[in-house]
Amino acid sequence: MTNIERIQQASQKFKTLFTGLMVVIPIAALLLWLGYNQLPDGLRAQLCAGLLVQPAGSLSLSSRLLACLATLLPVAVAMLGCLYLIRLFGLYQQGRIFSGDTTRCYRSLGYVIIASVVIGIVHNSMMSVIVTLDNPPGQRLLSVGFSSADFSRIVIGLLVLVVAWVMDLGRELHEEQQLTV
Amino acid sequence: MGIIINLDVMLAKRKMKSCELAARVGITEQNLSVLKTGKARAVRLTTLDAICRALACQPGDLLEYRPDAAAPPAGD
Repeated sequence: MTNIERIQQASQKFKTLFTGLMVVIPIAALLLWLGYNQLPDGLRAQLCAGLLVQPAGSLSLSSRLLACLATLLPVAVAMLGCLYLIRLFGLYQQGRIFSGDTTRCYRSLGYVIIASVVIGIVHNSMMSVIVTLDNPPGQRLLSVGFSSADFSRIVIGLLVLVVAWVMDLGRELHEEQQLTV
Repeated sequence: MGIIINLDVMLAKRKMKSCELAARVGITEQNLSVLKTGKARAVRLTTLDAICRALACQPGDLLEYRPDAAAPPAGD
């Protein structure tokens, strides 16, 4: 099996995986927040692991609905990331490794990763208000934070943008090679 | 680019078809077409050698330089 065939075969699997994730992520996020009160403690802790402020106990229906709405923000970014990955692996599946479209996919992915940091901060701030909305006045919180994980994600996003430049150089060399007789 | 490929002229002079030349040189007809239509960015010396041998001609018979009016002078 040649390298290109290996890439095509793996790309097909990754494309299927990200297509599945694109469907599962929004459904799972919405169902988990809507059914928050019925979740076992372990799953609750998992769901709130990334939040700056943890809910004290059960959440009212309005809080859960607001949490669903707020979750749509990072979910939309994750879906956009999946969309670009599906497109990228679709191109790889067609054997288009070094093309303008591939480079554009990498560049878009880099921007999505960087945007996810900003969206994450907004989401976390919104969630801190939402999960403390049922608290008595004076105990409601608005928390804004920037963690080392956010910094790491910005670095990863910038690295993906550099990879996009390298891929563009690869595309130029590929075109050059194709037009060399 | 001011480089003109006169492959068509040489093929006509030698009464040879493109497919025959491609077979003799060992390149695809598609690549030969890229060369004939002037889309090629580079020509390997080995390819030029094979074409010259097949057409019994000199590289100068195939390549011609005509200064491009729009191009800036060399060194700028």
